[in-house]
Amino acid sequence: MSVVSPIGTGVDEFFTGIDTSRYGIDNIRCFNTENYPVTLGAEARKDDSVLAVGSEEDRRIIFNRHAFDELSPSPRLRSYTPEERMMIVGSGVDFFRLREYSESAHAKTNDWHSYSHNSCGIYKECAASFDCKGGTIVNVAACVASSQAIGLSYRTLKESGKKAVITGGCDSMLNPMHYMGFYKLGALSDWKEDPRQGCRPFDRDRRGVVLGEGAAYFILEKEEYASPNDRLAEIAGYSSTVDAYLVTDPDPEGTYIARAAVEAIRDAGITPDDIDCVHTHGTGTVKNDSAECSAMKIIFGNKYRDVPVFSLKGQVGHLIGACGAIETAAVIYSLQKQIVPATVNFENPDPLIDLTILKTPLKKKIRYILKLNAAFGGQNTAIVFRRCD
Amino acid sequence: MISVYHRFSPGETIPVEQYLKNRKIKKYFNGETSAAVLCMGELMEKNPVNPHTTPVYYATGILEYEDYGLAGIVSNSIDGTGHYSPLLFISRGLSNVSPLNQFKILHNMPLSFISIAFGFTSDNSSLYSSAIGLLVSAKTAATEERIIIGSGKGYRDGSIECGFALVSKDEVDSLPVEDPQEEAVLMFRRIAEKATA
Repeated sequence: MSVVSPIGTGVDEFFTGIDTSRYGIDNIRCFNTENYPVTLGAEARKDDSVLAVGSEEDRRIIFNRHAFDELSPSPRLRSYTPEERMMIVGSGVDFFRLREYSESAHAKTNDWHSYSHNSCGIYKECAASFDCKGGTIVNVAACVASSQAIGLSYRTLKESGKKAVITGGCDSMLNPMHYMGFYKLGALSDWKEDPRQGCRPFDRDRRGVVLGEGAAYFILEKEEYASPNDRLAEIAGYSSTVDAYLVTDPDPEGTYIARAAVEAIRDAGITPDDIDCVHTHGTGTVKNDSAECSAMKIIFGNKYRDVPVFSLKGQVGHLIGACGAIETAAVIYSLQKQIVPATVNFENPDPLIDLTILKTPLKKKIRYILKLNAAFGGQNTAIVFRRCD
Repeated sequence: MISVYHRFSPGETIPVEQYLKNRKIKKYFNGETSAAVLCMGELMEKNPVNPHTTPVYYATGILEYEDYGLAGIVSNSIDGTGHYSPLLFISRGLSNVSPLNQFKILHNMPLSFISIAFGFTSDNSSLYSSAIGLLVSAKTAATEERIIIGSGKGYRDGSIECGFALVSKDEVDSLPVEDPQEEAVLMFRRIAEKATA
């Protein structure tokens, strides 16, 4: 696997970032935020410094370069023919070179197309470099884009002749257009104190989302072909649902997040009692965190407090199209280290959210993790991960 | 297989209101979303399905047409010397853009609004462009029942194309795809052309 994140680039640095509860959120530096109503973001970092990217560059391309550089030495892919390999990934809205376009003659004729980088195009070169002749699929389901990609990868390997899939995702909304577009939706945190504490999952004083950026990729293989020594985790079950509620808000009852979870657990051939912890979506918004709490009660009944939960977003923010992928990397951390991490910036419990959220890491036997994600627009995913023995 | 297909000329009215229980949500729609909701409505009239168990997979076309106000953002963000000004972008460029316009940018809105309008809650995917995404999603769906696949695209000239189909897993193999990486909406165009031939 490979990782580019606000708490580190490279798997080792990322895992250390979780170990040490490293903060990845700060005031944005990659573009001028003077006079912006909010200025918090979680920029991708390497060796404690924000990754240098030109202000008119599509940051996703740079992150993909770093992530695929970490992934490419793996000999696993070379054991499969190009036709047996696919790429199924998630990303977000197209990037647009606003400044360059605004100052160009093309702006006078509304001829904007060559200034746009679509989310399919950024993967063409990547797929070619890995010789994935089995096909390339890009999912753009907002906050569940990469988790739907991972889920489809799992199903593809189960049901088809394909033997290996590069899956995961990449996204960055840290540019003026997309950042302020999200602000206009009323979703961004306006936390005024220490900027590092701007995203506060499940906290009584949570103020909303902090946008993050990065990438995470995994080589997913059919079980019978995967080398026992190289396995990081196993996907045991997957499901996706839609709330059919409001486009702006999640269903407060958490009905369909819960349904996705129950179906994924059934797909894994286990029961909710087998789940050892839940890595939540946990955005730090009033409504999403409450909805997830409601969902937990449906999934686990009166045992919901027996299952510790975690949200990575207090550290890395919300990576939108890549959040499922980066949070899957955190699931692998938990499975490998047998630790449920502390949820950074969870300080004061919300009396209406009585989940078991940790302020210090918990070492426990973890065999199964349930990963939840939920998108703007109502799409939900649930993936069950199993520790490899 | 049961299918629906439409192509709308630039500026042509898309009569989607008839399928909206709450007509107020139309303010969030771009042309592609309107076409997708209309096509799904017609498909449901031809062959109603259980929205709680039927998967829906949708592929949006590569973005060619924008209607979220880019021209206004740009003209209001340029200073007197013709240079982009971050300050003007905030104070003028974006301040005149309605928050509703953000819903015209997000790629998953067609599927989201289909779900809201018709009550679909089951397995789903919002894919970008390529036919292979729809084909693989349908073939690997965790059901032996029929599946709904759809695709739409807004073209540079303002025209909109959209198609939906209710298919079985066996029928997926015979869908008219020439290149798996081609835009998914072309498949629905070919289905419609074959039906009228």
